[in-house]
Amino acid sequence: MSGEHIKVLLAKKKIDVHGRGSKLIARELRDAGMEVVYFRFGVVAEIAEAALQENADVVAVSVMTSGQLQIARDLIPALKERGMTQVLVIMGGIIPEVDFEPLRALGVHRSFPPGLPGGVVAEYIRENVGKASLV
Amino acid sequence: MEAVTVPAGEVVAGSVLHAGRLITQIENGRPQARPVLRALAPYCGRAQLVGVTGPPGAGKSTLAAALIRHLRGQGRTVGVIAVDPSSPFTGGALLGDRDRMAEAAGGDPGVFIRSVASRGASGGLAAAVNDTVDVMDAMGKDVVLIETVGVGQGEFDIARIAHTVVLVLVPGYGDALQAMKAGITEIADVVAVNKGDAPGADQTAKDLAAQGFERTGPDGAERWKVPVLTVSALRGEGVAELAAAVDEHHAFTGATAWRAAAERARGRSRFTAFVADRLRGELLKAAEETLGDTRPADPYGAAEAYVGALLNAHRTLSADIPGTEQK
Ligand code: B12
Ligand SMILES: Nc1nc2c(ncn2[C@@H]2O[C@H](COP(=O)(O)OP(=O)(O)OP(=O)(O)O)[C@@H](O)[C@H]2O)c(=O)[nH]1
Ligand SMILES: [Mg+2]
Repeated sequence: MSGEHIKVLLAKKKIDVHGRGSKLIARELRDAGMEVVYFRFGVVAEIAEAALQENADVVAVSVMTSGQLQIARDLIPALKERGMTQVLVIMGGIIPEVDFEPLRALGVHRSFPPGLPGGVVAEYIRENVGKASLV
Repeated sequence: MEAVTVPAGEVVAGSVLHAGRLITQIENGRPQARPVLRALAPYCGRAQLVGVTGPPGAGKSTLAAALIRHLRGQGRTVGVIAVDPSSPFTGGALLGDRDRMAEAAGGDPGVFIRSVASRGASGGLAAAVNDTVDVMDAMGKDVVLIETVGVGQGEFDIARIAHTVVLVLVPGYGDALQAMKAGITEIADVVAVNKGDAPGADQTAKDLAAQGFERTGPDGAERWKVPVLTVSALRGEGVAELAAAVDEHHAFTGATAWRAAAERARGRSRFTAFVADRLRGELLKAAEETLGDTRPADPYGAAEAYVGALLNAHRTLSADIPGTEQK
């Protein structure tokens, strides 16, 4: 088959109506040549289960209406439990920068503030995919 | 990325982690996948393979979700292969089918959904889908649903893979419906007119049913009258009837020469796909090496001579291909 593509699972909360930003990111990553599975989750375990089935290289979570720390607390162990120890985990949306370090400590490799110029997220993924591990 | 050999035993035992990795290797055409697929072969052939096809936005994913719920209600486990188109410009893809099915799956270990990008290769895609079907089959899934990219978006031959093809249409298609007729007689075993909650569905179904579509079996003997059903995937209406029609078709083809012929055709097409794959990679490389650094004055003539010599050599091979059964 033709080449290999980075597979990204892009998840957002089902009850969160803000869809514009995550769809923008989805398109940006697609246009960077990635295969993006877009889906809305109810509970965090669904993200981990989907990442497993899709064998995602990257799990990206869009958080617009807070809850990022709790999501990270649930998500990282759920991924590890399933043996997804090599997956790159990122977050973005409306996340206050004071949470970036606590999110890192919980295992989220990188969080992005809103309003970034296009291409930044794709570039970060390309540089870090396959090198990450969940600690 | 990583390409370790996946333990076949883990896949047979139902490990989603290992099955997921193996499918990635299949998609990427990794040679590591080949011996694993061979090891899985004895565990394949039990799953019921159902294709879901139709124009973009007809409700294929929503209907697949409704079918998943129905099948789970019957205690049957389900694998889903959902294909969405890749961008021909960037090679990237937005895979949105899972989102429509998420509610039906919702962490149920009896459901395994895998999104696949078409990657622009209709021939190669068919091979990858066939192999992915085997992975889910070997995992013990009772039913494998295959959602194609919308008809007319680089369709691969779902009829060669699935036991039963469900063609999903929507009311108000007008002229497009005319165009669909070719597809109905060629691939559809069951027609579902979806969005039955919207006006015009019953009329469309009636019009289609009046056409009396029929499929003829491989030896021209058995005939299957293609049922036309109205469903609402969104409301779950008519889904039980649709599932029953699919099962009926499956039982019918299984009881006649139909299925055996289809399985033979599937085996043959997989054989040729596999041979083509290796020839393209390895033989072509060997041919180039034969050419070495020389620059042929007559490339066409040189190619003719090379292929002629190759075919001659092939004729001297044993006529039997090892690993095939005479039937
Ligand atoms: C439009 C809007 C709405 C619309 C949404 C329409 C729609 N379908 O999208 C409506 C009016 C429905 C709405 C509702 C609500 N909203 Co509102 N909304 C906004 C607003 C004004 C703009 C959002 C937007 O579309 N921006 C444009 C897109 C392109 O940018 P973006 O979403 O930020 O996405 C970018 C980045 O964040 C990033 N990104 C996004 N996801 C991801 C994921 C990854 C992995 C990465 C790397 C990057 C990334 O990439 C994008 C491109 O740069 C923001 C304020 C603001 N200026 O941000 C508030 C805002 C997001 N809303 C807010 C709130 C509180 C609400 C409500 C709860 C209000 C209420 N009390 O009812 C409800 C939510 C209801 C619900 N169940 O979800 C707050 C959130 C506060 C917080 N997080 O702490 C904000 C920040 C306003 C505020 N200052 O208080 N909202
Ligand atoms: N009214 C109505 N809408 C439906 C029904 N089934 C699906 N839809 C809607 O039709 C739209 C497309 O549904 P999908 O299931 O994504 O269609 P699809 O055929 O899988 O689309 P592609 O995969 O993009 O080709 C969505 O907005 C659905 O909510 C139905 O039974 N009734
Ligand atoms: Mg779909």
